[in-house]
Amino acid sequence: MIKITGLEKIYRTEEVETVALNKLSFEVKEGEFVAVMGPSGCGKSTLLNILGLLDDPDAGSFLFNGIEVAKFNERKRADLRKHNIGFVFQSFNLIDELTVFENVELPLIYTGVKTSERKKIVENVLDKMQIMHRRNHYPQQLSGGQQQRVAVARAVVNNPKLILADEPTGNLDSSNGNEVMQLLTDLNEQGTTIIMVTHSEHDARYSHRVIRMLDGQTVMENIMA
Amino acid sequence: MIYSYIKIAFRNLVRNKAFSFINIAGLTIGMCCTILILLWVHNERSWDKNNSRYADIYHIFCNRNFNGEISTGPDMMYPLAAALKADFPEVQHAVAVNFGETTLFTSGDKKLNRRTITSSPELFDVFTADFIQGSKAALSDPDAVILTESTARALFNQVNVVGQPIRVNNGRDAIVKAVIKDVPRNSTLQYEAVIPYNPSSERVLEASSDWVNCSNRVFLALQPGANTAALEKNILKLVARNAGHENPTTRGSIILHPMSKWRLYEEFNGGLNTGGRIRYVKLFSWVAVIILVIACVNFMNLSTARSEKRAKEVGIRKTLGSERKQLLWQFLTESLLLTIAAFVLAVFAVYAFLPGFSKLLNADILVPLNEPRTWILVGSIIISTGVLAGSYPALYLSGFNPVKVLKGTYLPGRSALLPRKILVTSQFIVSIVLISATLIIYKQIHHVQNRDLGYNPDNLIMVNSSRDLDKNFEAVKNELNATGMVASVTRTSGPVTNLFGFTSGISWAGAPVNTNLVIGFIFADNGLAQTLNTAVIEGRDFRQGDTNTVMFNKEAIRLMGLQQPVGKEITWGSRKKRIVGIIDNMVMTSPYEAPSPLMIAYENKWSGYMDIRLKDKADVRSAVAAIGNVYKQYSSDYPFEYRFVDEAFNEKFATEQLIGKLSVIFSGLAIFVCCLGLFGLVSFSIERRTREIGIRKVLGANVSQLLVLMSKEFLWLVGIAFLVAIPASWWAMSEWLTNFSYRITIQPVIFIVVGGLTLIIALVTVSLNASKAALSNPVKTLRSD
Repeated sequence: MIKITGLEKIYRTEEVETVALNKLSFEVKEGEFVAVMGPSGCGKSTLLNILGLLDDPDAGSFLFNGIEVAKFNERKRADLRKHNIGFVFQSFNLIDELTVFENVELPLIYTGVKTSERKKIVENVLDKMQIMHRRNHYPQQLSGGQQQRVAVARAVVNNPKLILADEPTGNLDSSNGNEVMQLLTDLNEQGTTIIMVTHSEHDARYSHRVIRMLDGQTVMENIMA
Repeated sequence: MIYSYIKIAFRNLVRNKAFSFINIAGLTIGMCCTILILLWVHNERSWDKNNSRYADIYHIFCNRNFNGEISTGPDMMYPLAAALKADFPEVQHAVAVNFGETTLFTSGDKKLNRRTITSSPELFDVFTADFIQGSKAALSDPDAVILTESTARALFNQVNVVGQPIRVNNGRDAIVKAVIKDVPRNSTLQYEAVIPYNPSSERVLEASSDWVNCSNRVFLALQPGANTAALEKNILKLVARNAGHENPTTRGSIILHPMSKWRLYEEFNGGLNTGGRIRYVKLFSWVAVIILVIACVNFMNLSTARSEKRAKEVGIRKTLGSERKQLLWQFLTESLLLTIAAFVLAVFAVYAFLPGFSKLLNADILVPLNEPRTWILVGSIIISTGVLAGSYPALYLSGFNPVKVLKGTYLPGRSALLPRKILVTSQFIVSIVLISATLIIYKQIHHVQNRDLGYNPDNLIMVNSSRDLDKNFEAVKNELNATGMVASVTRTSGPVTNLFGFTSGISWAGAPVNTNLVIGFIFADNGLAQTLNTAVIEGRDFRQGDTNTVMFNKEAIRLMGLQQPVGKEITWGSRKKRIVGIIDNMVMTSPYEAPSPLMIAYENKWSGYMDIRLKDKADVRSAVAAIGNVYKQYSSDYPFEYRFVDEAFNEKFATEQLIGKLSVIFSGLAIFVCCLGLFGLVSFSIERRTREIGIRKVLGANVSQLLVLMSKEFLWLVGIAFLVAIPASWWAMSEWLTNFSYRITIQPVIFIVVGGLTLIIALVTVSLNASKAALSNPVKTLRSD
């Protein structure tokens, strides 16, 4: 599904040049659950941003389902993104002014799903995530665990082929964290490809494979039992 | 999608109540001012448009050349109208109308003074009138009187009065031959009754062949597309041919002043139609635009200042697949929604203020709801305001990089603050210009109102004279003196607050040939200088029985170049008159101009006004009542009407006072809107700096140091604005002041006052906000971080 080859990303300021990704190459097959680990500043987040089409690489190739997307313009990237990729963030990133229902509904609006259909889909997802009873609440009225469920619900509402999770349990206690990891595992079992950046060895154990990064390069890959 | 935008916009409004309030209030005030000003402008532009021949009507003006000095006036000779119609096919209708007078109408025991014009027959062919009864043929009937609806009602209590007898000026009897609807308030030619010229009367017969003396206005209705430039030249030739000899008129030129310029371009200078009220219309149209732009700038400032809050939303939406274009639309929708909300509020405000505004302007300000242009204007105000206000924030906010804003590392750099600072500075520039302009306008008005008029207008009453009063004047005077409240009494041919008569027919021994000196004149009775309280510089005041004597003012003597004038003789017309006294220059015409040269001729047989000086201690109310009693006793056929001279004089400032009031109101509101913006901006800046403030407090900063710290960045902006605004307002107001020959010079102290005022306003606004932050407990602000 994803094949990156010789990916480079360099951040430049007036004095310093930071190599975030240094000729990085790897492949993720459809249906895989991959964890990306490494110390702070090793380029994990940069990688995730490029995979999520939020940022573009300076050099290298990025094949998404066999299509070269590294040089896509903003419009094309947005289009590909909204149909294929769901995001889960450490800090949930829900819109404070929208209710649970409306937050989850948002990706469907951008992909142009009709109102009546949207309602069905959103209710279905909320039901699955067991937050249906909170549908009319605003994010700040929910606990962290509940907010992350909403975020996961929003990430999957469009049935994306790929979910990118950036330390999804980073702001949660262990029991809420486990619940979210279970949700991701369930989604993976239903066929969604997941790439997750994490600091937690515990969370990494839910994945099939761990890619360890250092200084913008992969240093090791472990296949999880 | 749009529903989602509206929803978010609405929730944002509710959530940030203070900022929504500032935003909407600013826009509402801005739009309300703009609408009011536009309504006023519309009213000014609507003048005379009720005439169906609006585009073809012209008023003849004449540039008269007095030894190189050009003076422009509307006074023309009576036979001109008829001659023009006879000689020039492009002149479809021509009418001679006098300058209007007050006429006493009597029906039964009802007596009323009404503003009347006397006109030749084609008045209603040129000007449109709505006939309730009768027709324009009434003007060809020398015994006719044409009344307006309200005059008819006032005299007869009804409008169907054609055929009713009516007595004119207690002299002749006439018959009401037509009743027309009242002349609209936005008509230049105002009257409450029309009297036709009687072509067989001696006066009119004489005037019909008089091509030199001018006491009429001439209005023309031309064929559409007529060549006015050629006609102007031909009119002058016609006048010269008929006058037979050279005079200031034949040496001058003719101006055909089109009706579309009567109201707004009413001033002539050096023989050219230089403008007039249009100056104020343009000025306030700009003020309208400026106030609206200030409100838009507030909106931009506040919206971008909130960018940190909105950044996250933008980031999330972009990750979820939103394109920049969609976000642009979202933010524009928000600003349009806010604009519509503000507009609705502004409309309520406009309707609430309209009666007061109409009264202030002394005009019928109407909302032209049935004109499609109004609705186009409404639409364009909303859209242009919404788009202008929303454009910058939309571009700015939608451009955020989602990676950065979601990482939380997003912090707008110094460059992002620059546009905001420029916006605030420009708001302050405008405010400072407006405050300075207002102060200077007020100083100028004050300066002129306190001018030494050469006489004392306080405690001086003008009463309309009558034939009976003139007959018994000595008895009236004695009775008035007997009331104990009257200091002295005199009579004048015209009001002392104006000069209607000008003559170039004075000669004296040793006068240069062909001086063509034009001197204003009035007739007056004995005790003139004493009653008006004007200084007699040489010689003496008029005395009883001073037949064939005159007095001059200082200016006239200076222009005539007479040495030791008292006792010398002059010839006026065919009569010789002896100079008995020289009085001080009195300001009788425009208070903004130098006093005119003046001759006062003694006259004790007739008068237009009785001028009464009250004693200083007299109670004005009982004095007026006492004078009224004496009046009724001697002149029961005429209504007692009086005016206070100081009030009549103050009417000369009506326009300037209005401009002063309007500029106070609108500049006040503009400044208020600026402050709203500044308030919002400061509070955002402080919100961003709470952590910094907390740290500084922990490190030992005290409240005043923090206030200085937070105020500094804004006071800088005010300072820059001040430096830009001062030369701008200096230049603009110097230009304005050149309209007046009696004027102030702009003193730097005005700008110091303005600077201080602005600084105080800004400081108060900043510290209202900053003090809260400076006084807050650092433990709280740091913990919440």
